[in-house]
Amino acid sequence: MTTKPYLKIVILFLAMTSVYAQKRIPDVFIEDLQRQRVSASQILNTDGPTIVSFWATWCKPCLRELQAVNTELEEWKKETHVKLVAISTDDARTQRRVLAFVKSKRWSFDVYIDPNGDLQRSMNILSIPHTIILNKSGEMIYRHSAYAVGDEVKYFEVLKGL
Amino acid sequence: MQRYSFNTDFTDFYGSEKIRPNPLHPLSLCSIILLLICLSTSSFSQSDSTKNHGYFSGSLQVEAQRYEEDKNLPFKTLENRLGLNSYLQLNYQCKKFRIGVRGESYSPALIGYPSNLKGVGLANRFVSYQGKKWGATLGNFYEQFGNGLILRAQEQRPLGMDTSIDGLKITFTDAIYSFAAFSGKQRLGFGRTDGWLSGFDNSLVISNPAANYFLQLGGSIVNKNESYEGILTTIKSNVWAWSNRIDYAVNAFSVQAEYAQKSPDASPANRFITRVGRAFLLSSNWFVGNFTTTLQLKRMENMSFRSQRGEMLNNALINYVPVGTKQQTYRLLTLYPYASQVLGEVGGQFDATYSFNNGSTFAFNASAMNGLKRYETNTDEGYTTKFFEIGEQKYYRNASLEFDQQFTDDFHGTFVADFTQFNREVILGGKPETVSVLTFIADGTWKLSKKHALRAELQHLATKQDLGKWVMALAEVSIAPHYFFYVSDEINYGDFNFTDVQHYYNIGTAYSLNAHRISLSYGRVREGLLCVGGICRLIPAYKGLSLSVMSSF
Repeated sequence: MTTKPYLKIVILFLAMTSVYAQKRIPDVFIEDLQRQRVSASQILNTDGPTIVSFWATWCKPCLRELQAVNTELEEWKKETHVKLVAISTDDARTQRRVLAFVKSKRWSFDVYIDPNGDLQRSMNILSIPHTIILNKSGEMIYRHSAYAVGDEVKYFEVLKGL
Repeated sequence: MQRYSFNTDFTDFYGSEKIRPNPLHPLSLCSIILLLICLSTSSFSQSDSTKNHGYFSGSLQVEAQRYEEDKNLPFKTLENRLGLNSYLQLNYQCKKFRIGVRGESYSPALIGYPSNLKGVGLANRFVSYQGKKWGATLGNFYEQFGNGLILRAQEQRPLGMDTSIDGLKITFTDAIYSFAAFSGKQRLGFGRTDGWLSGFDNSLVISNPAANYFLQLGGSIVNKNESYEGILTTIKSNVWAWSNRIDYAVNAFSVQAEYAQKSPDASPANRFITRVGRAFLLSSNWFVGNFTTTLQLKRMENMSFRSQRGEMLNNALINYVPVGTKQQTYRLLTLYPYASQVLGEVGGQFDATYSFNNGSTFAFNASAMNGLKRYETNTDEGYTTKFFEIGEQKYYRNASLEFDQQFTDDFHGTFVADFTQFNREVILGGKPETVSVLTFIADGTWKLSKKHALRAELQHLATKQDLGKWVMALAEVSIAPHYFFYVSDEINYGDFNFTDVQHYYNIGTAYSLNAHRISLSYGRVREGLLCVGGICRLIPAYKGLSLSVMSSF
């Protein structure tokens, strides 16, 4: 295979991404906890910013992050009207436990399932936890991979800046 | 940080290799032309940004390892001192159309990766349309029907596995009815499999919000067509698989069941018998007060299903059989995890969690898997079974307790006790032995300041069989939102005589900036299976330097 044509496209592409990078959640179907299909672009907050967090029941850093954000969420809502949406990337092995898991954690935010990773793939997410903050218009303002205790401080700074 | 579990199943590795040339496919050319048209249109026709122009996105991942000699590790068997895997995904979205290409490079591949991943190639390219209800993809796509029992095209990059289908897919989705239909060939290395796949899946939702119930019915069918001109009469060119499923929820109770069947599919995996394949999965959730419970039952029989006869390992897998046991995340617990036995297994898993009013949780999980009871016959069918009979051979037993609490504002702790019985012969291969393992784990996180934290893990695994006892300690310091530093050591000390002690130490750091992450580590890594969702890849033991770069844009 000749790699040179591809190389040119890559260079051209990278140049263009600095101007026209992905800014919105794509129209990919995911499922709610009742297994109803919904378009990912329809789950966002129309009254304020949205935090979208990609997680899995077996991912300990993801759980630490969701727990930390959930603890602060009511305070953040008062100030920024933010909405938290968690997208489970569990596959068929653990997918059926997601509903029970969410109940056991008493999470009150919206949780969806990305059954075969279609949304994760279309967002080019390589590892979880992966967190995205979108403004009221649905534009991506901030993305973050991994979780360290205290990352939520940065999230709140971003939210307040919107 | 994403974690993967390790186990030590040798049965599914080191198989045949088949590298095919990867000529510039007409669709590749088509995608590139479309991409260039969109680029030029978007760049020069309008001045407004995303609304009219669409957008670019992609990801870059580089995994590099520099191996060092270690007299206690099998380094001398390696051909190269360097392993380098690179993946570049580029997408362009133009209103409802999306174009994507992915290039991969293995120069050479990291140790343990499938041997058919060599050199540089275009691994994936597609053009897709997604409207409000209708969607279509031409090129490589991923798909799953139901639980994946008869079809799951997936990418598991850490395993070197990509079973995407190269062809055409059409989907329709609305609130009540949805379907997907496809036809194409699966990826194999940088080429495609011999077998041609076609399939159809549909589901119907019948819900009544007033009565507070939800019912969904689904059905799928998949055909594999792979010509055969040999002399074995048991081998069929056409193999059919179908499945039906039901999903029902009312108030605090829900149940989901799927039954699948596969027509005779003689292959090396089942020793060329014509026994029909059968699969059954049931999962139920029930919530009472502070209790949440999940029950899962599973029965598999002769469900190996590949799009190229004779392929081994994780190559050309059409379907996916989820593992019916707890997914372990702590390092030592991943020494003896269960792997799905697609040729025959029956068992289940029960999970119960009690949530205290202060947010603490106490979780119990128990699972058991046995073989099937088979009645051998002298026919091409090979054997018969009775659906409700359970074989006497024990494959796996596990009981686990986990307590999780935020003790103070600055300290969070998790404590685990786990007992496992592991049939080494069935799951690992090799000598017949049941390994009994008792493991204790303490995991604590101290918040030192607003942005500084220390996390420490202490794990101990005790067994009289296999490699004997292990202890592991880990300390990780994080400075949000950018820096991680960690040091860990897994020590295999066999017994209390401490005559043969092996250290598997590791020291590393990571830096995260937005959606970009770079990590560097040095140490010794023990042999084990890297498993994602029950599919595994053997990682040989090695010592050396590892570099990982991940970037999403």
